[in-house]
Amino acid sequence: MTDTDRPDTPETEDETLEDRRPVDTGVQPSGQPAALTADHADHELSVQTRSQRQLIVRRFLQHRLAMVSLFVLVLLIVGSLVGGSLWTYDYAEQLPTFNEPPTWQHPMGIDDIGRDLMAKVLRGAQRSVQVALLVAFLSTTVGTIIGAIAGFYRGIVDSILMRITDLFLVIPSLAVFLLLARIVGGGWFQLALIIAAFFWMPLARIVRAEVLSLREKEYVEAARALGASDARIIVRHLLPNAIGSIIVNATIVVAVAILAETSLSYLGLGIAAPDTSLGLLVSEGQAAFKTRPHLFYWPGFLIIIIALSVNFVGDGLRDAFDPRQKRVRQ
Amino acid sequence: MLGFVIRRFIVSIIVLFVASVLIYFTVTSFGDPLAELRSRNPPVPEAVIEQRRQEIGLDKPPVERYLAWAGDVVTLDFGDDLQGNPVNEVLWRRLGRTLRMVVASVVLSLVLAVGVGVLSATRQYSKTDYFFTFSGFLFLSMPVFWLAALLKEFAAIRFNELVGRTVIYTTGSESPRLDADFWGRMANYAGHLILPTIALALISYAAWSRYQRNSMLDVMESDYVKLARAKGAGRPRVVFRHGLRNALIPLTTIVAIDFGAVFGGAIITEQVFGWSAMGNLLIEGLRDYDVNVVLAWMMVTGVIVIIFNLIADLLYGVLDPRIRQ
Repeated sequence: MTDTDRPDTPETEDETLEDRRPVDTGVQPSGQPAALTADHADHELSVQTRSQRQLIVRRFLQHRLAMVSLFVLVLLIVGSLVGGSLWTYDYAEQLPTFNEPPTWQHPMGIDDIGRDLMAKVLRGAQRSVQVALLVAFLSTTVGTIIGAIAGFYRGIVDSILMRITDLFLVIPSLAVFLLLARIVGGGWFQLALIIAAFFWMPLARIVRAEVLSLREKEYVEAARALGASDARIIVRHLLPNAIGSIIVNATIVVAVAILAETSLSYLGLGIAAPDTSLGLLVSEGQAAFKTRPHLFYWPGFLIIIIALSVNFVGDGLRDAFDPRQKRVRQ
Repeated sequence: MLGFVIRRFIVSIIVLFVASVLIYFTVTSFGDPLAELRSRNPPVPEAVIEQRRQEIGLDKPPVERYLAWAGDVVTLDFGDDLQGNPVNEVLWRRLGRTLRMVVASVVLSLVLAVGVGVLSATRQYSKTDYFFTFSGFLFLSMPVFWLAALLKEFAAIRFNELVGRTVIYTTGSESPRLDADFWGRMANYAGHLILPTIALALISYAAWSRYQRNSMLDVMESDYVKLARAKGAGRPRVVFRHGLRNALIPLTTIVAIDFGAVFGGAIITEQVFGWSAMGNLLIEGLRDYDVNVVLAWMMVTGVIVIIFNLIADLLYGVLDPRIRQ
């Protein structure tokens, strides 16, 4: 078995020389003829080294449930963000008829003041998804920055930042949601800001803990010896190694945020009429449960499917990033 | 270890104090308790408004009012609400109701979580395991108000029809003007407690059972469990005495930490089931910008969070001797 036995397959093109090193034949029992078929032997014997990133992507792609969930999630997010503008009716449009049961033209019926319920559900989904995505983005950014700075600089900076984190953890977030929601009003953007203000703490703690241990690694010392600035060490060397926790946490925040937003709107303290959200729709649907039960079910189902697929994707990502906790699914 | 716990406790008290300052000045500077009086039609005479202002002490500077409030709180007196009634009266009654719901649901979800966690860990990758994994994720993704409404519409109403009388109540924490002996009263409380407890328990059970499953799996793969098996201990003995006893340690601390979150999160469940408990106190307080009521809620919730964090810290040491040094 020599190097020449190996066909040049396209996948090997981008490999480094080191990867092309012929594999020790000791693996193969000597009695066997060398290279039954070149293809077979190549498959058996060559070890492809993959980069960390390739490994993670590969593990995630093999996670069937996570892939299906990702597909559903993308479909739902895109659908709720653009669905409202594609649908025939506008959520605020008043139709001449009212209180209609579902028909082909109005798949969810018309409510008691003549608005198409399909349009309302699409609008509600759009608002809820917007809030959840914005919360995830803001709280991940803030949590990462605070955690990285606290962990990297330690000492007094760390103490101050962590006490602020504690402060946010002790203040019952719901009280502040309610208070701020009264003060700033019920726009979706303000609501997302308020929710995000109480969702960054767990990530800040996680990132801090990771950075605390990562900053002692040799490669950080090497980077510093090469004259890298603090910012460069944090951004190029520390955060990429903590990216697993950050991404997994961000997905979980999407699920929790959508539940928080819908709960607040359900209580009448989040997004308010004339705008609508899935939580507000559930509360309207519950009031008319006897006549229009589907108005209660569909917004609820949407919330559950979004949160559920986010959770499954998060679970798949966790498995992909953390092979130590390998949980093989058949 | 003890020094660490004491230091953390002191820090939490300071943090709670800072939080009370922040909330006090946010509420007083953004909310005007007299707004309702001012907006009345026909207009209320200026003199009446001024008199009311002095009555509730708004004529004094905020810092002075805060210090007076803080001085009273140290003696566990939360002051008067805007109507002039002591906050304490309502506070303890409502705290009792919320605690009734929260404790019942924590106990129920703990039992469920441990049972399900052990079952799915000992039958890893079986149909049972997948079923519970999936249902756990489902409850984790379900808004509590939706689940509560379903329980109300289906479970309770169907069940009551089946039995022919109201056993499960769907609103309130107890029947108003209840005239019954001790056992009648308890039965009435229990009937009101069933649905909120289930709704709240199913949500927190989901996360805990996942946690319990993972820690059980870790323990079952450890060397001492292998040794216990190798020396011929029976399966129940291995699972419960060697496995579960150790696998319970992480969960205990998680539950202690989560207790505060369940307490705060009970607001939604209380609202759905129309309980006049802590959540309602907060919502009413915020509606009227009644700073004493809001702060009473915050202090009680904050203290509960701190106490249970303290318990979690101490439990680490008590249950896991390796930490005790």
